[in-house]
Amino acid sequence: MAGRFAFTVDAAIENIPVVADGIEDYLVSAGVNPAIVPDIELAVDEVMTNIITHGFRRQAGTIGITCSIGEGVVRIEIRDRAPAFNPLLLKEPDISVKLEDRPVGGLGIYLVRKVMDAVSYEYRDGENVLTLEKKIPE
Amino acid sequence: MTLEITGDNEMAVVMMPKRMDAENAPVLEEDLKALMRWNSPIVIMDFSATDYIASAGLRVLLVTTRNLMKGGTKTALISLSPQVLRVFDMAGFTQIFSIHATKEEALKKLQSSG
Repeated sequence: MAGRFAFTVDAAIENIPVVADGIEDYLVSAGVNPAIVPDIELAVDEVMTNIITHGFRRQAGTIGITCSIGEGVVRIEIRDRAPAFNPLLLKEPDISVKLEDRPVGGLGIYLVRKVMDAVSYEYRDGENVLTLEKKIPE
Repeated sequence: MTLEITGDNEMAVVMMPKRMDAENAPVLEEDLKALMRWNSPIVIMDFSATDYIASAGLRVLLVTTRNLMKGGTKTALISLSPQVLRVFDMAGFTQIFSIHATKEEALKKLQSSG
């Protein structure tokens, strides 16, 4: 099964569920095991939230998304022209501390790494490019 | 979004929304402040309608629960769906929140912990 699904949206929080629904429709129509859809939705949500709130600081911008399937893997590339920033360099939150001391931030990218099998970042042609990969279960 | 909160002097039960994400987190955080004004010794957060939570939703829970704790209120979370529980687990939230299947179970636990 091949093919790809690409689109561009305004960098706005309300567009996140729209993108998630679009990806879900594409994956389901491609016959991908639906068990992995919630993890993919969460990862895309967290990445877009970071781009909108930290990358563009809620100012105008666009986010490009390309979703493809091949070699047993769903691959999602998320691109933006906000200032160069590698979210994978963020310090992982310490999730072992008690409630009173838990920091309130830093969980988003941590969850992305947890639910995806591979996450990579590159700055290419003036764009931040984050690539998420999720293996499709048999 | 308007949160439904029911209860009495002893306890407040709040129905959490269907989605807890960056889109509704600011409104949710504001709406949950009503629990502080309710001022009951126990707050039960009912997740039976919640099918999706992202880090923005987790953050709201952390802030709200911490504020309730400071005011001496005990909190418990009930009826988490498998997907919501999975996200809690990954974030380490199952360690820091009191999570139960039912309201009765939660009350038993909270009341026995003094």
